[in-house]
Amino acid sequence: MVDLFDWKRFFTNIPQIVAYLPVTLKIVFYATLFGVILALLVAVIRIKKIPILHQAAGIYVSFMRGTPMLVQLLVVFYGIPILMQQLFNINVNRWDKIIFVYITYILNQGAFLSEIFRCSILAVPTGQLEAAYSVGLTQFQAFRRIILPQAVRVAVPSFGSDFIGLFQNTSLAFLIGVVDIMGRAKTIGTATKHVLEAYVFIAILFIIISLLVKGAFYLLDKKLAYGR
Amino acid sequence: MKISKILTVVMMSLVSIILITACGTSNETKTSDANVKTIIVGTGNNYEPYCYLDKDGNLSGYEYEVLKAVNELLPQYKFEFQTYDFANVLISLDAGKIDIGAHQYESNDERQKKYLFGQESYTTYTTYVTVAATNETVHSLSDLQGKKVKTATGSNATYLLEKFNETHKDNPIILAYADNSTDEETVVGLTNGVWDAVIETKRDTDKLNKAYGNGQTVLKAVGEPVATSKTYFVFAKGNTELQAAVDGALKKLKESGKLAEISTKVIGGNYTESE
Amino acid sequence: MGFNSIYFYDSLRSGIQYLPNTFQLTFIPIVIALILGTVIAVIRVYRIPFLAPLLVVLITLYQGIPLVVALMIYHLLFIAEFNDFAAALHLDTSMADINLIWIGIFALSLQATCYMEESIKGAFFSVDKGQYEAGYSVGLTKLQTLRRIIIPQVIPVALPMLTNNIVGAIKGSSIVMVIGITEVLAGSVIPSSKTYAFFEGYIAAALIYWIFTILVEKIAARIEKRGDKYRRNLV
Repeated sequence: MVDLFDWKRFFTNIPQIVAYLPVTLKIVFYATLFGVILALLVAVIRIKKIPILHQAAGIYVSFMRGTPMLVQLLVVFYGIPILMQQLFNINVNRWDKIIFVYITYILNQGAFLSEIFRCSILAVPTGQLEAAYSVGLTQFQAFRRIILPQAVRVAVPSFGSDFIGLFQNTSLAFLIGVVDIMGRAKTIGTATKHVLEAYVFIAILFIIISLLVKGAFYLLDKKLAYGR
Repeated sequence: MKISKILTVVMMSLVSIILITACGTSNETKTSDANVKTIIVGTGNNYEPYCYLDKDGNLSGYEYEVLKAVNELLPQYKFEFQTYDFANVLISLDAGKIDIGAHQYESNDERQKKYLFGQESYTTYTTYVTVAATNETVHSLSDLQGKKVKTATGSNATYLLEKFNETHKDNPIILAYADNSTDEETVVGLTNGVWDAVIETKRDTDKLNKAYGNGQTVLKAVGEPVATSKTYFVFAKGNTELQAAVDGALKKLKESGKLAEISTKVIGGNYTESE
Repeated sequence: MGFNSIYFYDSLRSGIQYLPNTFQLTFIPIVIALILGTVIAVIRVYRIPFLAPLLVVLITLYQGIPLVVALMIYHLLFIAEFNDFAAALHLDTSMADINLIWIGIFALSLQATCYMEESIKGAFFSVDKGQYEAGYSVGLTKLQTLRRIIIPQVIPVALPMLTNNIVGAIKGSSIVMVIGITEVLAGSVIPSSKTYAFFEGYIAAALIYWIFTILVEKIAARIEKRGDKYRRNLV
């Protein structure tokens, strides 16, 4: 029977994989930070049904959700330099590859999160908004103080899942040579001919991340549980 | 929204993407010093021992060593290495992001329409039908008719098997496409009967036996070679200057015996001219 | 950068051939995930003792495992142990007879269940506690309240997020190419082994997936409109 798992290899792999953890974390950080901002914008546009922008946002969300992330990465990585060359005559072909990775993930997250946000904002009963207006709050104040806290409660579970999924999706960057922890596990697998130990370690890392994230969101949820 | 409207929007968006990428050319002039031109080499990072990352995460392997030696003979260029996966090396070549593609690529007529292959080969690539050591029924390619062969999309083995199936439509070989699969799954799958064979070189089979066999042979190559071919470096169509320079350097490396030396050191034998 | 339309059409035809596999890998896990996900969400919302905390832990742990790793482990376990397993149960089938697609469906179902359960749970939070109390106060049992009052209010809220999950499942199905099942993405790239025209293949796959997704989105929008009749919308 083939020798599939060995503890010694497991432990020698750990420092090699952990060295690439910053890459994964950086991608997740930028994607979430700018993705959330983009998603809020798109969600508000789609709820308010602002003409022209509404249709454009619809196509953007549909494209990002409907096409494989692989294709999105290719379009961003190969298409944007050509676009910049044609329109502005700037050569961005020599930019660091990771910037293209950031852009792809920001756009992707923007689309998926905008749907979560849109749905959770719509979940708040209209009566709340009417009550807010009746005591004299402006639209923006009503949104910030009344709608948002209640919407967040609905959004949190899905957002948490999406966030954890983002960690795992960063492995796509490996295809254009940006090595994150999954990519390192794969390269260790081919270089040493044993991939299972590396994969198991990755799974453990992600489980720890999942527990931390879920724990943080659970506390957030408790804080927002008004009147339940 | 009517169906026709949806389709129009979808097609227009895709067409614009395709047009933008198709009509654009990025002709890069990469000069750092006054006389030395920087050449970007694209290679893989997941195919041991040709291109892989060592324990510090640095690129190593046969492709790297050979091209380093080529660079020494061509002082007017400076080679820089970037890694991609098998398919993306070629797409990057097309898009002008890299100048040389190195991933044990084999040539054929259709591919030469799109890319410029080198004239000098640098490895031989002779593939055999490889089965579990306990398999006594399969002895050649024709024995595989009606049986399952594990292969990867985009690999040359797939191309060869499909060519075979075109002339044997009544009882074709069943192809199981498994991309990004691992060697462990190949070995366990073959020994347990999930697939009947794979198509690979003898040196790759030896590699698997050494890694997973615990001293025994788990896989064996049977029969005549499925194909004897050679691997070449790939260049962007029209880049004949670089192609001629690299070809010249490779020829010199073969004559001086340095290529054979690198081959023996990295892949365990002299696979440069013949098996 | 060149784009060859002939190769594009070849890839398109080749990819469409494998749509049935993608359908199997998408719809079966989605149906399983909807049923299981609702059940688990209800258990968590009602805080049923013992089961609820257990499921919370299980789901959090399982969401941490990347789909690729899970798939590989199931695959290796299956091909390494199945023959012994079948012999122990005196079954006549050998491994070569079982279609590997079921391993893919199994892994995708578990993954989809976790995601859908989270969406449905979030939707439950949007229903005010008063609704439950009102239901009990007119004499309905817990199950009746759930069926007649809560769930009709949960569905319109859950729908956009479930659409997200379904669309994610459609694209996630392509992961099974690592264990040898060919579906749309791998199928579109098959002609590329001859021509090395990979870009055209990937764009063809993108087109097929996008059209599939748009159909799903249109259906979801239709259902959303009907659900909105019973609640007053925000803007």
